[in-house]
Amino acid sequence: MIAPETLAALLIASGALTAAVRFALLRQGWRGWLLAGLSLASGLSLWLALFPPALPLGGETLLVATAETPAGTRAGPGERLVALPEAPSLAGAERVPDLATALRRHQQVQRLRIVGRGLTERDRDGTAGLPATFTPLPPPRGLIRLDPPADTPAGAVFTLAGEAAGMAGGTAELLDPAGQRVDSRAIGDTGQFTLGGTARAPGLATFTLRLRGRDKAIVSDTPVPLRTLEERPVRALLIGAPSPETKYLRRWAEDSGIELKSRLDAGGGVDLGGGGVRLDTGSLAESDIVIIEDRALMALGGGARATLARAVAGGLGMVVVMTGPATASARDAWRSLGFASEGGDEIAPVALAPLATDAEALAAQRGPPLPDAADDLNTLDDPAPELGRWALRTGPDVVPVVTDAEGALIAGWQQRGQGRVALWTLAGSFALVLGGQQDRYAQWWSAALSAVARPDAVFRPEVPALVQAGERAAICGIAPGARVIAPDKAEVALAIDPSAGPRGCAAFWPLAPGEHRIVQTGRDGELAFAFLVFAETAFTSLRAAETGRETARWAAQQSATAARSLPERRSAAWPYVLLWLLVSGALWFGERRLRAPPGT
Amino acid sequence: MSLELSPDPWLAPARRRAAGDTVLVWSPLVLVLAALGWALAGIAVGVVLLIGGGIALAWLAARSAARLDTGWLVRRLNAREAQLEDSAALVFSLAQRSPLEQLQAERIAARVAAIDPAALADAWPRRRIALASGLGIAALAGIAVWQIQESAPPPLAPAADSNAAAPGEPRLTGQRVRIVPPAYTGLAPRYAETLDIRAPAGSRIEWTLAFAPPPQSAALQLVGGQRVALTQGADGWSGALRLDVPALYRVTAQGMRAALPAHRLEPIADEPPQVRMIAPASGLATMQPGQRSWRVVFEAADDYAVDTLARLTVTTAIGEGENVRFAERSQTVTGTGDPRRRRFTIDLPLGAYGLVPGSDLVAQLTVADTRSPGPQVVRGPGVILRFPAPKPTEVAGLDLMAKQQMPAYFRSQRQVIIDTEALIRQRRSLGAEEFLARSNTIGVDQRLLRLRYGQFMGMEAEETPKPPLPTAEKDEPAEPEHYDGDGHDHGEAPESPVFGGLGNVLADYGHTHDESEAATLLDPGTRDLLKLALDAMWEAEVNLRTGKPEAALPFENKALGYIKRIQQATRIYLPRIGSQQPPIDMTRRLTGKREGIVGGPARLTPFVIEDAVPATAWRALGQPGVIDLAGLEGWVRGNNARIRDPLAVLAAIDALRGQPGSRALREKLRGQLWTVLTRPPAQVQRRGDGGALGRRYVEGLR
Repeated sequence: MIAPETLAALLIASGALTAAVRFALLRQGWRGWLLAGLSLASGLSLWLALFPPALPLGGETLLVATAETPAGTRAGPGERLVALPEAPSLAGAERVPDLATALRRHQQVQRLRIVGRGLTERDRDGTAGLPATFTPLPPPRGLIRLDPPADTPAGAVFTLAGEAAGMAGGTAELLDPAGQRVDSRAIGDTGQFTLGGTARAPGLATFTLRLRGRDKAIVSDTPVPLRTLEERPVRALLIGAPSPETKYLRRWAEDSGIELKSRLDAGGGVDLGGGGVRLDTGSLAESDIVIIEDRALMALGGGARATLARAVAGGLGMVVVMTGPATASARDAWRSLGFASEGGDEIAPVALAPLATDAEALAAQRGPPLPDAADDLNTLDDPAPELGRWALRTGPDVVPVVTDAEGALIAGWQQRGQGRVALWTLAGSFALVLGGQQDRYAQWWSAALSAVARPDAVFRPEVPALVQAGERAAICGIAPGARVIAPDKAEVALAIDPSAGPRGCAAFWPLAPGEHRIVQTGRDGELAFAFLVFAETAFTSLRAAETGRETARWAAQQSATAARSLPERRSAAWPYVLLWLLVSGALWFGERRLRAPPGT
Repeated sequence: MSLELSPDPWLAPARRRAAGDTVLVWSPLVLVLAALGWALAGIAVGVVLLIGGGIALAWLAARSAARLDTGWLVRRLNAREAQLEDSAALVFSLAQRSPLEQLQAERIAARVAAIDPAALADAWPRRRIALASGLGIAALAGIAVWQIQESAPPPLAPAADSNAAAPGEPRLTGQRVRIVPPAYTGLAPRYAETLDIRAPAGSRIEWTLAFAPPPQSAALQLVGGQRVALTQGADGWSGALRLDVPALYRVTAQGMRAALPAHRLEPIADEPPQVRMIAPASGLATMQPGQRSWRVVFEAADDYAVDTLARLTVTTAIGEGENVRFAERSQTVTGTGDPRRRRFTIDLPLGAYGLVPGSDLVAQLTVADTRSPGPQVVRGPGVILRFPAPKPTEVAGLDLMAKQQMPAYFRSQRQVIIDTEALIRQRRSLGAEEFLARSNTIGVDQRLLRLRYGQFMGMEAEETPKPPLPTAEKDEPAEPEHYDGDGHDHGEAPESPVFGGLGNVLADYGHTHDESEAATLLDPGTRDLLKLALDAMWEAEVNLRTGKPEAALPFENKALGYIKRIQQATRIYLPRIGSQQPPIDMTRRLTGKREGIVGGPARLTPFVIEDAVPATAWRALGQPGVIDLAGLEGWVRGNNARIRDPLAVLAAIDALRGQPGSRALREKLRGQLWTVLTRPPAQVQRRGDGGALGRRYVEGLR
């Protein structure tokens, strides 16, 4: 099937050619030639009037120059070059303060082409309504992703993850605020790594992530914030029998500031725990966690267990410590509390990861020793204690909270109502303390109890993990009246954005680096939450990589939404009709002159 | 009558003159040599050179005096006095004279007697003496000038940290720090390059500082401590201090507005000496038959010097079985060699100790270093000399009464590994046969060790090492080959219940298939580990016996790892002090009655880490505000034994005190405090409930 354009072109061309040949034969000389030419032009203009071409008349492409745009970039045909504030100076580029301004100034553009590193968050915020193309630059050498540690309890272990580009064979090191190396990992071909350290007293600390190349030269130093929260003491009940396990648990609870009441039944009505612990609704409502040994749980009886189950549904956290193989009746009892599991009657070895990469890092993690500690006690070379765990099979509802080096479950919890029930499967965890790994013992118990403790109305606004001076930060989880206190004691009230929904979000533009505090007046007085703001240059490569990723995603989004709405457009036909009329008029006039006898 | 005159009265003045000449001409050279020796090699060499030169000079003088004999006298008299008519020889001749000669001799003798003997001597060689003494004085003066210049302090070095001072404000322009280590170290005084000083503890530090323009007074201010006032001398302000404790100091001068940066004063502690045993090579030696004396060699090393005198303690354990008498006596021994590495060689006469078969002699050396005051005394390792007991009497039918004499000293698994590695290293230098033989020897050691551990498993008695049966054909067993090698690793082989036992003779010589009691002493996990260890040892033994130590090494290492784990598994944790049990109520005991029992709560003493001060300061430093620097500094000083680098923390505190407003210094101190903060036991974090939204969500989950 021949397209209508082609058919019309053939017909018009044949007509015009015939007319031209006829004119040329009719009269030799320049007049004949002129008329022949005019008839050809008339045919062409007729075709153009019928099928006006899709000329880029008003349908330009906007070439957006961003940071790191190559110096030789020029606007091609049908393109208009604008430069955002981050872009280097380019010849022939129009400077615009942001992308929205450029789009407003050039409303005729139909496409966007972005060159350079990519659009900043300021420009990615809205939609352009135009298809956009963007080819990201290769990621810069250095850190391209950083997941800083989450809020960490005092004394606990924290981890951070990151990714580096072009650093295969190098090392990633974590330095503590004093500059001592705490951890180090070799960077593989994928560039991803995980590092860990230990928190100290509550407060904000700045660690440093140092990347070294293959030749051990320092490539980059990136600050990593660590927030250690000061907590209200957790109230816990410990129910069990006098045993090393309960002894060391009490020791740790005492040292780590838990308000622990214990009932250690020695038989014959003798309670070595101090007495006064009853498992009734009132006392359970006043506790955050109940730690109970499996035998003590079985000895409670159905009524008491039902009380416990109700308390758990009301928010109480519960940890069942296994002291022996799980029996069917024990599993039923756990299930009635809200923890579903199978097996648990066989013991399996626990694989322990080394405490640190080397002795120096271990010393840095542990901090100054106690005054009477011997130097050669609990060194890195000490063999790890032999531990066993009851191999419990659990379903997808159980969330593992403590696992060994091979990922086997040591403690996991399951939600029930507002509360959580956890099962501790490690038999004789006190052997960790005796084997010189009390750090790990405390860490594991801390993780297990932190996961299940009664939920509490704590003031923890959501702040972006890495805040930079001069960059907008969205702070969520605040109530009206919250304000930010800058390091220079200047106060900025936070205006909550009603369009952000019930989360209570407000924007904040930090001006200077340093420790900022969000202060909010709550029911129990003033609540404060601190966060660190870093210098504008702190995360250069990180931000560059993030900009590239996000811009590519934004461009894909724009193209996907804008492609359908763009109509097929031809230029208007009237100029060609006019042209055809003029040419045809001239032709008619010329032909009349030509055909008129020379004498008249 | 005898007319001959004794020539001596005439010779004596000349001889004296000649000797004097020699002494005067050459003594400047001796003095110059002695001075050079003193300057270059110390006063002892100088004195030796002076004495030696004096002796040589005396000998030379005596020789030149002795050259003047009768012949010289006769020649001199004949040459000087014409009136003697060339006949002076007649006077001093001892030969028989003819009558004419006699007559002439008498005439001449009268004339000779009239001559003054002093006139015969040579005149003083004034020019030579003047030349020699002139040259000598010049050389001595040169040496003296050189020495004075040598010992003069160097000029003040330009101060590194001259702060930009306002006009008229004193500025540190020159510095010189002299470190005089304590005399006992034997170190020469030296000059420090910078104002940061690291020197042996007890050194005297002498500062000389220059300021421009000159201040009214100047001092060294120890941070948080004393103030050392400087006195103005010829070449600057000087002061001195004895370096005992680490500290920071800064230079101050009257009129100085800004404080100069603090400098470190760091003493290097004196290490105690270390004693090493040289001979015998192992900690246990066996007395040879007929041995009269025993040579023990120790080596003591110290960072400065080991005292020449050391104390040797000899303990004897004489007797057998339960009837053993101990005696201890000590003697002082003298060391030789380099003071830093002294060697003590002691020959112990064995006869004096009254050793009888079966007794032990333990020698132990106690050395001290030369620290003053308070030398550090260290007791070295003990070495045992054992007088082997005689072999049991070989009586037919009494075989079973044979007693194992020597407690089995096995090589440890670590020693086996060390031996194997040494053998692999020496492979190239050994012949194939010898290599195999040595590998086999190590294999035997490995076997003995395996059997030793096998006893715990109740391994068949057939495999247990049998003591040599006392038969007539049998030679002395090569036991000493298998003694623990070097006296450092005796703890490896655990004591077995049948260790050297006399009572278990049946198990030693019989053939029992049943496991012994020992095997039930271990829990199943340890038994499994032990089995793995034994398997690895077996593999190692096989490879060693076939001369493949390289192949054996991995198994040896594996076995060592298992043994370590076994030891870990069976580790017993005991409190440092004994627990005090309440007395047992005998009336209740074993009655089963539980009435009236009152359970007291088990109280825990809270664990207190005294780091509230730095933790508070650390938190406060994050915010602008005033910090209690004095309290923090006091805390750091009180706890400086625990902190890795207390001076760095103190320096950060001090720097912040100088500029309380500086953000960078606050950050620096905050960073330094991180090393001071004790890591608390991991605490529990409350989880948030997610606000009203979160609560509704959790409720909606059901």
